Amino acid sequence: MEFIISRYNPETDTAPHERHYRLDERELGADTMLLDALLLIREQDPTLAFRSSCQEGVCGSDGMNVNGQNRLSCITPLSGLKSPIVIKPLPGLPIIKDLIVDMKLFYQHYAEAQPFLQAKSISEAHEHLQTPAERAQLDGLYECVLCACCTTSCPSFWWNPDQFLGPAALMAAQRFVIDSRDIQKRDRLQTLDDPMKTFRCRHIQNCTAACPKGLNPSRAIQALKAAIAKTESS
Amino acid sequence: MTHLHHASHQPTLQYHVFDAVVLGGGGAGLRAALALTEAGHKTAVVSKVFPTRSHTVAAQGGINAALGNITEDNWEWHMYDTIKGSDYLGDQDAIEFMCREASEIVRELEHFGVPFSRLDNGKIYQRAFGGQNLNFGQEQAHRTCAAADRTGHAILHSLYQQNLRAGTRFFDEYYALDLLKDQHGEMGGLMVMNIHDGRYHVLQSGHILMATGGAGQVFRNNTNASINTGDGLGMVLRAGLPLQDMEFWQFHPTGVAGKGMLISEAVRGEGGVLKNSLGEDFMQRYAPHAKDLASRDVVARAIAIEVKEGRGCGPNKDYVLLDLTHLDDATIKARLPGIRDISLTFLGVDPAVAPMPVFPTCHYMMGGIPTDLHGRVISPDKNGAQQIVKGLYAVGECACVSVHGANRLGGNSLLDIVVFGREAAKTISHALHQNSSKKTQQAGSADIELNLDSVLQRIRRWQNPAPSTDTLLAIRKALQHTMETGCGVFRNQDSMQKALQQLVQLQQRLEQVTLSDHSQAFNLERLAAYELENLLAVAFATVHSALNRTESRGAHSRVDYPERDDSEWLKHTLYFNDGHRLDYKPVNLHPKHHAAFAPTERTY
Amino acid sequence: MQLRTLSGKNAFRWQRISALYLLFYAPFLALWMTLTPHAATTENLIASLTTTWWLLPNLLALLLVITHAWVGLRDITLDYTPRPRTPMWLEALRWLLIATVVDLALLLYWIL
Repeated sequence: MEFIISRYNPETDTAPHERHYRLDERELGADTMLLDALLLIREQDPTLAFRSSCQEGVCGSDGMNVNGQNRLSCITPLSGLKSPIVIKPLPGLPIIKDLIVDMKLFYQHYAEAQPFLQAKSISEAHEHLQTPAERAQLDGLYECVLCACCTTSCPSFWWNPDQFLGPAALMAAQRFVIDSRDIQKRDRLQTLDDPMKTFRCRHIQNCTAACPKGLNPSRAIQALKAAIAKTESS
Repeated sequence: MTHLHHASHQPTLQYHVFDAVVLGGGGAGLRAALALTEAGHKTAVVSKVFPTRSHTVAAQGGINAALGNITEDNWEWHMYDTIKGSDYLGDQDAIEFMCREASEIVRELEHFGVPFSRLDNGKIYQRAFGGQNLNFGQEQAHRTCAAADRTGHAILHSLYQQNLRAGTRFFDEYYALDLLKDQHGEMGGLMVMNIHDGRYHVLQSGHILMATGGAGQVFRNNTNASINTGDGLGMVLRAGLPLQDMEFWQFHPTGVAGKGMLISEAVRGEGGVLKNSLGEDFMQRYAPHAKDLASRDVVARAIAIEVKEGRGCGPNKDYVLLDLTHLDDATIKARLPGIRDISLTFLGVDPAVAPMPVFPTCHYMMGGIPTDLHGRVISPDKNGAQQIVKGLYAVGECACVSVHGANRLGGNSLLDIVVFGREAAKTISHALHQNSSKKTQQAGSADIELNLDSVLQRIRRWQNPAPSTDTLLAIRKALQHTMETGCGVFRNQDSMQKALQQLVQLQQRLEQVTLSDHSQAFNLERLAAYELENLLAVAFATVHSALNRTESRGAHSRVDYPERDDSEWLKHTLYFNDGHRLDYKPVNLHPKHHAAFAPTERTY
Repeated sequence: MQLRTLSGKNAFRWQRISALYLLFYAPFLALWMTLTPHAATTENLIASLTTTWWLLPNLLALLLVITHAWVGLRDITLDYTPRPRTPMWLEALRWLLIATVVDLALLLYWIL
């Protein structure tokens, strides 16, 4: 099986370049994940850099562009990929080395979305009550692993990376807008009522197609926009 | 400015001064950092991965607290279960403290935004988990508060989010090399490396909190993230301090066979059943009362025995099946969506349709850096009296308070990290307030000299440009294999002696091997070298501690000494790496608010 | 940047409102034109479109088309123009809008 991997070492290279690697099919079982293959390639070439941690798709470390699609390598079966497998770093963010991108901007946008509960302060002797139906509103939003597969596949983000918050951050914003315990909904929506932060989203749906966790950021942003539109003009 | 000791070719160092430095961005570190930042202390969190990538994120089942949302419950019953689960090796004062704090701390997490699953009355959903009963060992308890089967993810993200709100300073993707002591031999800082550019920094602080997590990577099959390499443990050993109870490693009964992904105990809590090749639900024989929800060590051993006696499933008869096909699809989707994903992704089967192949897999380290119940690191002095190590704290999996003793209950690790994370932060905060005048004088003062000799030597050792045929990866793989065969679910004198000999050889290989890559940006080979030094130190601690304990207790299961021996071994092991010295200290049997639970025979 | 002219929310609202209106208006207009033979010449068409009962919906449609187009053009400007020159293009777009509206007003004045 052939792999074409984008390599870039900031100390020696001026631009990323491709390198070809081969793995013996016999080394690869029917259920081998792309991450397993990358680890085997790293045995051939210890300089190959990519992030990885939990190896089961919950930590969100190993987002990369595989045959044109953003994926988490640890939950991408090799059997579903056409050889040669072309692997590049996530698009739209500065490359630090090989498949590792600088996620600073992504995290900044996340923080800007104020992704933390602001609930009524109550005593620790009690919990905020929330009905199963209210809690179900959070399903499909809270499971995000911040892998950036969505945001880095979003053309609106490519066009305005510094100002458009991107699907991951906006989905995080919606997760708190819709949480029945949060009391800052109005403020949140007012802050997000911005042509650049939120309304650059054109529902191209790349985010939803890319999400390795099967979430739907586009739909979340749609709901968010609708909620903003329903607020009274200030 | 701190003065550097005579070191040639030393890297350029950048200095930063903080009131407190938290090493580790998992649940324990983030809970502590939140409390410290909120108390107004200048706090830094150092993490080798972006905090939400820490392994807390992978915890599935839940967090224990006797909220009593489903049945009546109280913390004494939780305390009893934890002590019994620990096979009476847990310190009863610490366990009592943790169980008393549990309800409040879980509600606090809820206030932080954790999206717990809910009951119809709007309260937090609680599920059944192994080893937990009502009324001191009677009916099954529902004590484990859950956010579907993604509780760790929910908690870690919420804690990170609250730290964003509070404004904690993060050093993301910085790797900590070693603790630094000042000229008086006291903790004064931390040497860290920015993984992005390979530059070294010194974080100066009189209060360093270790929250570096576990070291499951010492075993080949493990449920742990690849980052769980015991970095904090290696640092503490190199600083001349001991590790406690390192012979106790929890093998989770249900890792995906041959692959290691965790299949949460929640599966059995929701009604899943273990079956052997005869289709028999064999746990009935091993734990007639609790069955599949017996304590983890009991279930793991039962599976290992079934396979050993030829009742394993599959072509190689090397696993058993975890069956939840009798549950309805809606329950699986609502309560176990993450498990369903894992099964679909890694096994290609829908758990509602076909059972999952499972086998015990290394999951959790009960041992660690010895601390008191306020998170302060303790170490015996020359006379054997336990003394507080000034300025050093430890919480979470890397610490050994000890609340888990010889075997941890499911749902108690998430509890451990937040209870002691908060408590350690309180302790540090208190110390900072008491010494506020001294603190300002210390920060940036000229009379502190940090001793950098040994850490600089360690850095230089890996700069050796000579080529080598051996590789770090080969050594790491050999280490994992050695530990699995020599010191796994079942151990004996022979297997461990052999493992020890192999470890000595691996140590020699590690001293010879050099790096092929000397670049600066994201040099993962160099990172692997630092990590391997720590893993090997942890492996030595484990085997030496395990060899000497001639009994079976909790997860430490010796074929040659199958019985628990309270007369000789109701005590904690302390391991020092100079000469692999062992020491012992008594188990605390003096809780404050409840009578002690005397060790009795442990059945489920 | 001249974004306060229309905030994110208002642009979104107007785009929705105009789209919704045009969604109903366009088929109706098409139907009407096929069923009305005297609309064959431009003069007749204008005359018919400006009959009293038709004038208001037509005028509204025209204004909403302009609004819709303007929001779209503004989006394109925001997305594609190089950042340093975006304010200039937005300003140009605003003048284009003003010019179009003035032009339209004059045209209507002339027709009526």
